[in-house]
Amino acid sequence: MIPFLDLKAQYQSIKSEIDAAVLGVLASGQYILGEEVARLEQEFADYCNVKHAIAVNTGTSALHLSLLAAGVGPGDEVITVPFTFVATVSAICYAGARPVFVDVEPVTLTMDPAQLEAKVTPRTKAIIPVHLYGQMADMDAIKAIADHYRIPVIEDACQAHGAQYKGARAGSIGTSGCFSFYPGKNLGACGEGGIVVTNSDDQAKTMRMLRDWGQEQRYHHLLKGFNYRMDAIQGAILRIKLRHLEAWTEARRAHGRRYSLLLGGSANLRTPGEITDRRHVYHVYAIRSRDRDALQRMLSAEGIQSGLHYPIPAHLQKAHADLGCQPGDFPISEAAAQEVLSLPIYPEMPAWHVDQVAAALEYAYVS
Amino acid sequence: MSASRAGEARIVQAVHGRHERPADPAYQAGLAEELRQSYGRAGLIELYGRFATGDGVVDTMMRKAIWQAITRSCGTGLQVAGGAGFKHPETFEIGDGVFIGAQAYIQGRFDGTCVIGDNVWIGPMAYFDARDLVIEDCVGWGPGAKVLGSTHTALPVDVPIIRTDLEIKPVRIGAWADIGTNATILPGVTIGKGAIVGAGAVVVSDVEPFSVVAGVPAKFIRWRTEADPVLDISHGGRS
Repeated sequence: MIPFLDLKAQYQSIKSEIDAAVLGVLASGQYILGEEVARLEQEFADYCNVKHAIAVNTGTSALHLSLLAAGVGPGDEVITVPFTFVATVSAICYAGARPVFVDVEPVTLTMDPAQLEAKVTPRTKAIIPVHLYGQMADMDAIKAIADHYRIPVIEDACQAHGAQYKGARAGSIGTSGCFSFYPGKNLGACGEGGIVVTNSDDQAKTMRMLRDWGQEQRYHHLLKGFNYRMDAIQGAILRIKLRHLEAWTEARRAHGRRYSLLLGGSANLRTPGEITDRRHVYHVYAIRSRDRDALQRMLSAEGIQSGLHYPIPAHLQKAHADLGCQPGDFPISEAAAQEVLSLPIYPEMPAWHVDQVAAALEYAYVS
Repeated sequence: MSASRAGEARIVQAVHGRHERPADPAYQAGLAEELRQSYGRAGLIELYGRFATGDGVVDTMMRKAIWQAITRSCGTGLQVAGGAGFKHPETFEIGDGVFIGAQAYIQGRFDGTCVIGDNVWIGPMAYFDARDLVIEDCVGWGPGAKVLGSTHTALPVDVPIIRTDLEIKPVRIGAWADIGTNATILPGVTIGKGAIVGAGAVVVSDVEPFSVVAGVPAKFIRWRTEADPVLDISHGGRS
């Protein structure tokens, strides 16, 4: 049995550190926000080379607050990609805005800057590129268009902790950057969690208030806020894990390189395209094949778990039928949704698992 | 020695279709299961290489056990002669009492289906492109006869043909059909129940049940009857 990921393996590798941190929080009596969360914010901001980090309860909340801080509201449009987890689109809807989609480009499956400008209207109030699978979108090209029209860029970096674009960390290029600490993420909590990073003092202040009922001083609510606070236990755990993130990322990248080495010669499947001036952190290692469903069945029969990220693009989800999109509107996203298959990858995964998965895929095409 | 008996035919009883299949020995199912658990698919394929060609008791027993272990399903009474080979046997569903002749080769595909019914007899050196193949019960498959299940689209024309997409079409062989030596069944063809395909025929279109076809391309010759010419032979012995 080769699991898609094994969260227990990670816990076992740092068990004593995690246990001590959690027990420390339990003993402190400070269970929401507090010292541990404040330290996480500082350490994560330093990691991303940004001034501020605001810890929240989910990546979706991070996106929502970023949009609100950028002034997005009802009647506005926010441009994003359809080939993403639905949360990107849901957050836009939470803000009362309308998602406007631009297709992805076929190599990285991130926002295609060549198609971006055509979607900009006077109502466009934000652009959300998604750093899908752990590789950043083409931020220079996206920023050039966004800056020309003075539209803020919110990075959906929920899969891209530690990813880089021309040396800049994910989250540090846009007006703000949003991260998820969902347990399976490269930096994952033991429960829900998220964070927003920004260099803007004003936006940071606004988001800090919004995550905690719109208050700076208790019971003095200056804004219509939310309960988006991070638990102290998650803060403490994430601080421990952040110290290991670079080593874990390098382990993921090693697995990714090995997969690509073993599978790169296959005519029947495509390995992920890693762009040279970007650091892919391989939250997901997704191959592409026209035989995707059959390959997944075959892997499953071999005891190899795999995943689909994502089988239905956001514009074709029933929940967003009101946007009026049709099949064929975003052909690159739709083709990807039919073809992508995520292979097991996590830092603690033994290298021989990579070999076995690759051998199983290779076996499919023996003739 | 004279050649005076040339031209005479003789009738003998069939072997494969008539004899009572001996039941598999008591250990057979357990052996197959043990191999499946111990070796896994890749290990079984490697193991098969060690027993693939010999005609001894152990080789024969192990070939059978490995086929039973590695196929999606496999009945009892299987016989696999030396040199028989496979690709993607995990997609095969084999019935009871199947005989697979020496050096026959069944080439499946990882996402394909190959169904071989009960009491099918497959002659030596037969070849099956088994990406989407069903052979129903009691089919006789002549030595060297072949199924082609796919063709290259040959498009676009400016790339080597072997790089162009494969178009896989189902091939269906009805129960009781008799496929002659070196006949070739092309993709998409259905052979009707009880049909007879002549030696060396190239079958490009469906064949009616209980008809006889032959030639290149195969053409309808006649319907099968109780008065087939094959039965109309001299029993006179030497003149």
